[in-house]
Amino acid sequence: MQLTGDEKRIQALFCELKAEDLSFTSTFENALRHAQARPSRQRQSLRTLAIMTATAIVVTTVCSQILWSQNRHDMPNAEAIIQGNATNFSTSPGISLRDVNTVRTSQQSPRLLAVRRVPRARRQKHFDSGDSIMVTAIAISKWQSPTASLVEFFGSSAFKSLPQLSGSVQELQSFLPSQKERNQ
Amino acid sequence: MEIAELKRQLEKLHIASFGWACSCCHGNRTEAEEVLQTVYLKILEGKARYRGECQLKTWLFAVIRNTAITEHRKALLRALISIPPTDSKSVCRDSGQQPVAELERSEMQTRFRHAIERLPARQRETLHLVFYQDLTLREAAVVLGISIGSTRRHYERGKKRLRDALDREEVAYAIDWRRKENSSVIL
Repeated sequence: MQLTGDEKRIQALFCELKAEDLSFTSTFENALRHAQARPSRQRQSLRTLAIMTATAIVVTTVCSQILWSQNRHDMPNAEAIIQGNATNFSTSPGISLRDVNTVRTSQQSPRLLAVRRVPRARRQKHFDSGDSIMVTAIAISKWQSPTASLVEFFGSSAFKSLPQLSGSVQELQSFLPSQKERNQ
Repeated sequence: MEIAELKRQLEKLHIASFGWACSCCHGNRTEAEEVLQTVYLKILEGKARYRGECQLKTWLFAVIRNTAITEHRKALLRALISIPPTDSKSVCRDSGQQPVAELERSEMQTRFRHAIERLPARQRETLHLVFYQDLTLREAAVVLGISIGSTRRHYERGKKRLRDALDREEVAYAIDWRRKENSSVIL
């Protein structure tokens, strides 16, 4: 390749660079020795990584297997708990039979199936808390203030009852004072 | 090719390979050494095989280039997840050598290095292969894995950019030098 002025200048600079690089170059044997020393270290780290990964996989598999088997054993109990709770609801004051039936018929619903998968202790706790909420709700609805009788007066029934809108105009006029009474 | 023969050939090309590895690693000699070691290992373990489709030199340079790119990516990933480099010794050695090397470089060489570093990768690589390694444009195209037309374009553009950069550097250097001279006169 024929080099022009600029090219010669660039080539000269590259030659200088080459000479400088040459002084920093290690021997081939040295480089090869270093290269052959490297894989043992790399392989060791790779082996450690592989062992760690395998251990993690085994632990995860065992844990998931244990959880799955536990859930499987709990399934019949869940049905019994649901039945029991349903009867409890039916006997509780303020709960109608319709609600109980709704609970029974919804046994196949996805929501209830999800409940079945919950561990036993948690599920029991859930139902217990449901009962306690129901009892509290009933107690609150039946609560009466001890000073309520003091507020009562003779016209309270008129205030509490709604006016009869079906009454005729004549009947309503009978309640109004007459013209004479107004003039007096 | 036999392992012994391959080793002999690699030894012959070792200095040129190191220069090319330096160029691929943006002038970082420690990184270049590591890349070269990885390349030798790849070749000797049979992960990179020479099938005689091109010259051994161009094939070796292509392997060095690809390995340097891979190592650079790995280094970036390591930096992202902040893992310290595995070989801290070589890094320390390099940091110790850096000031000495800087002193040894001439002003012109330093400016030339800066100008080269600022060039786009393909242009820098093409110029290096042509002027440093004395390869033809066709051989450079094989190393870079691009067509000869693209290589020629990179070569022309790179040359022009390098010339402009060197001129600018020289002007800046002259202005700086004159300013220093004037200040010493005033003092």
